[in-house]
This record gives sequence, C-alpha cells and structure tokens, in this order.
Amino acid sequence: MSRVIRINGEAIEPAQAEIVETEPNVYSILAHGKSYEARVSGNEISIGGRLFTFEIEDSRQWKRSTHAAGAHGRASITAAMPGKIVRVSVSVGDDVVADQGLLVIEAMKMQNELKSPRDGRVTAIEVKENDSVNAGALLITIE
Amino acid sequence: MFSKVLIANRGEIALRIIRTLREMGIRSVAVYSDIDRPALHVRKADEAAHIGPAASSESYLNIDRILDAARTHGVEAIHPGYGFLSENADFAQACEDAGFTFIGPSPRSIALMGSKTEARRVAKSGGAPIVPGTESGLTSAIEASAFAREAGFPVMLKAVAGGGGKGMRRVDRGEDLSSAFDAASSEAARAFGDGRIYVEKLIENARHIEIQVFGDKHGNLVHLGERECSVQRRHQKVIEESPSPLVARMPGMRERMGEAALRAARAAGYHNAGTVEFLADNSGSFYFLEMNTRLQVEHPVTELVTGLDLVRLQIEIAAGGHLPFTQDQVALRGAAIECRIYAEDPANNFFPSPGRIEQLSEPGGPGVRVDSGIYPGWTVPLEYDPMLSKLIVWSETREHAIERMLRALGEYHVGGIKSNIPLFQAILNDPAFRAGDLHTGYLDQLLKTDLNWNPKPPPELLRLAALVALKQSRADRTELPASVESRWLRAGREDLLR
Repeated sequence: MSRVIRINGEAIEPAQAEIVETEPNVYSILAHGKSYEARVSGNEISIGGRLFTFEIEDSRQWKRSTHAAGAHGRASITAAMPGKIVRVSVSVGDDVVADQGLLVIEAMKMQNELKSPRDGRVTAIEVKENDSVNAGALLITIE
Repeated sequence: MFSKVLIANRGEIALRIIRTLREMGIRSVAVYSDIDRPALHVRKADEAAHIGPAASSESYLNIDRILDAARTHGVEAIHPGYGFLSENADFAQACEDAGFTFIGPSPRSIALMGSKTEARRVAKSGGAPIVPGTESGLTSAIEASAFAREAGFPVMLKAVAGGGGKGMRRVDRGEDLSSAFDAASSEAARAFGDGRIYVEKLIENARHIEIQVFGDKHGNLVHLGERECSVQRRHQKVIEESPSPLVARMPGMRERMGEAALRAARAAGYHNAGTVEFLADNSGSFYFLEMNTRLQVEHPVTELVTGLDLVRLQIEIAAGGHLPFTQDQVALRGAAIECRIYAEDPANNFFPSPGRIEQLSEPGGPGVRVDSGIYPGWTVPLEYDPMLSKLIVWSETREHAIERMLRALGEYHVGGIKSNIPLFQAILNDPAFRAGDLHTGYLDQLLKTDLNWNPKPPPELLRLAALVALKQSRADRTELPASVESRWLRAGREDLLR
C-alpha cells in the first residue's frame, strides 16, 4: 500500500473494520461490534459527532487524489466567500507550519483569518491588501 | 375562505405557510428573486412568480412587484411571513387598497406598534408596566445624557423604528454616550431610514419573556402563554422555549403577564397574531419592551405546547372567522424548545458560512419538528439571513425536552458548510441553562469560557476516519456520477488501484 492518508494533517493508519457505502458519500462501519456512521463532504469526514479533514497522497501514481489538499503537498487556499483582503501575513518563499495564519479576509463585516492546512512553503500569493475577491478565488499556494 | 394565497416571503417560513395552506385546501403562490429560482419554497408551492433581482430591496421588499404577482395569479390574500414587509404598515395598506386581504393586523395597529416610543405610550395607557425611558425619540446625545443622569447608568439606546437588534447600544458611562448615540443613530438611519433614538434604563440580568396574543376582528382577544428567549447573541434570539422556566415556577406570573399583554394589544385595537415582549427579573417583575405585529420566528414552540396551528388561525381570522376558543380553554402542556440553525461557524467567531450544502440528514423520531428551507445540492445565498432551519422539540418536561434536543442535534448533519449545531450542544449541556438560570447576557458569558470546540479525538476515531478516506478515494466518485456507475466498473477500478 503506497498511500499516505492524512487526517487533520497527520498521517494515520486506517483501521481494520467492515465498511459499506450505504448512500452516496455515506458509510456504515462496524468495528469490534460498534456501529458508526460516517459522512463525507468534499475533504471533510463527519464521524462520531466529530469533523475531520482528510487528504491522500499516492506515491505510486504521483497523482494526488481529487479530495486531497495536495499531491507532493500542494495546497490551494481559496476564498470561501466573496470578501476583501485585510492583511497578507506571509510572503512567497516563507516556510509555514500547519495552522499558521496566512491572511485575513473580511466578508459580511466579519474578519476571518485563513490558516495553513499543513506545513510547507508559500509558492504563490495571488492577492494583496484591499483586493476584493470572489468566492472560490485562489489566494495562496503552499507546497 | 380564500382559495389562493400569495406568500410574500422566502425560506423556511414560506414553506411552513405553504404546508398549512395545503392542509386547508388553499392554493399557494410563492414569490422569488433571481437567485431563489431553485429555492425550496418555489419547488413546493402550487404556483410561483418571479419578482426581481437578488437584492431584497428590488424583490422581497418591492411592494409593487409583489402586488403585480398577486394580481397576475389571482390571489385573494397575502401572508407576509416574518421579516421583509411583515411589519410595514404601508404594505398592509397597499394590499387592502389593491383588494387583497393582508393576513395580519390592521395597518393602523402596525403603525402604532412600529414606532417603539408610540408603542410604549400605548402600552402605558393600557396599564402595562414599562421600562423607565424617554417619552419620545431624541435627535441628540445631550437629551439622552439628561435622562441617563437622572435614571442612572447603564442605559440602552434604541432606534425608534427599530427591530432585529439594529441601532441598539448599551452605554455604561457618561463619557461613552455621545459616540454610542452617533453610532446607533447612523445605524438606525441606514437600516430604517429613521435615525431617531430613545433611551431606556437597562434592566441588568433581565430575562426576555414574551406573550403570544391572538385577536379576531370581532373583538375577541386571548393570549397563548409565554416564550422565554433569553438566550441571545448580539440581541438576536438563539434558543426559545415555552414555558419559561421562570414563569413556570412563579405562581400567577403567566396570568399577570398575559393580562398586561392583552391590555397593550387591546389599546392598539389589535387583531391577528402578535407578540408582546417583556423584560423580566427573577423577582417576577416585568416591563413592556415592544410589540411585534407579525408571526414570530419562534412561533412553533407555542404551537407545540398549545397544540394549535398559528398560521391556520391567522388565515381563519383574516378571512373573518371567530377565535374558535376562549382564554379558559387555552392550556400549556409539556415543554418545547427551539434552536435556530444558522450557516455560521461557532468555532471561528461565528463567521458566516454560506455555500453549497453537500450533505443533509435531518433528525426525526418522537417529538421532533424541523422547519427547514434547505436541501442537499442547494447553495445558501449570501444575500439573505443565513438561517437554515429551526429545530423544535416537545416533551412532557423541560428536562426531557433538553435530552430530546440533544438527541436530535446528534442526528442533524449539514455537510459542506459550517453550522452552529455545536453551539447548541454546548448550551444544552451547560448546567446554568439546564437549571433555567437565564438572562440576556447568559450566552455572552458562556462564550467567554473555554468551550473547547475541537477536543482531541480518540485515536480509534482518527483511524476510522482514515478508513473512510481510503474507501472514499477508491470510489473516486468525482470521475463518474455515483448513481450511474456500474458496480463492475467500480470493482474493476478498485482492483487496479489495489
């Protein structure tokens, strides 16, 4: 098995358990007699009342899974909603760690700090302070 | 009775009204803006009319467009829902002038109670106790400071034309009054086109308790007990319940509040559904705050404890019917709680989280009601209030209702966007909430404590999540629509990936 599965940014060995996809993106798991339901939306998994993000690296294919936050660790930080860039806290070439603040975006009169999903290096910054961005706009690339 | 009714609203309340209309055999007409074409209320209504662009001011607040739709579709009556034009006396008048019955109070009652200072005067004249405050709207901070010096700080600045927490400021010190007054006044001017502000003494640690009233056009007026809405954030209600834990333990308090509410409603010549809001303290004293001349967001908790359909009552009364019961026949049974489910992230300072709903699983089972306006695949628009749904439960006691709500919240899954479901789990597990020890500052205090939104997950759960991730990546459903993908194809592809 040549895949690395990261849960909340941390490499995790998958459990051995019986798993069935009961509806699209909904899984029923039986593990040691305990029943769990898991739901997948994009790169998020909800299970046992908790929410996890996941990504998958496939070293054999050298091709990232469509769900992953990055093959070879590339992660694209995008705007979740239209807004204005208040502050950019990093520069191209900076090494960043998981959860480090990258930039602050203001939308609906609320400021929100976008954080790095993982350790890596900033390879591109597409915006500057006071730029207005649309939902889905690429802001920063981390590799 | 009407044969067709237009609903001048959107989202969950439009859907909730459609449901009652259908039960009554009345055809429903939805209205929608450009962005709401795929919205659930349009899908579920019998008929639908486009009324303009996404901006509310050009669609859901556009009286001419709504009346045009009403004429085109040949309706007899218009239900305004809550928000938008529901408390706009000009709209109610325009409906009547165009020959449509407005399902709500008279334009005169709306206008009377729409002005907060006028409402205080009417309530006072009817004999309801009011919070000490200025008799009329002020235009300068100097007048406000004269009142504040006499009554003592803290005081509350409020917009004369106010509602929804806009144009409200708490002021604790004389030196802050001037800047707070200017901020509240300009906010009120933007929101309501009226920058006048009045000042009230702030009742500290007050509870927000309101009385549902109902009147017909023949002079009958009853109240349907209280709702407690003390759990608030930024002056917006978050959880509502009936009965109020305070009123339930104070002998005679419901009757006294109900009488005061009826006096205020009677003084306004009120008919149809209305809510009289009070501030109350733990000694059982209460003060008139304002009257909302519409159906409230939180009306379902009253429906569950009284067994009534308030929308049906509204429609019957608007059509000229009599209230089908007297005050003596109104009894509250059990306890009901409502949570307002919003597209916002409590772990991230309640940042709004609009976007596409990828997954939706709604709770069910005994005593659970979901008034929702969403479906999987639908995108929550940025343009409107981000309330997704209301989750309401009933049980025989408050304690059991809390357990039931926690059970239902555990079943509720909204994927793709963030929701405030974790906030409700934190509140309902909080000992102060469970003890019914509430006041309007309660939630702010709770949020100042370390609620630990992301506790460290057990390793076992992480490994199960990894298993799901692995399975999901093998299915790789982004390449083919899952519904048409053949099992053989998938099995073959999974083999190749092994």
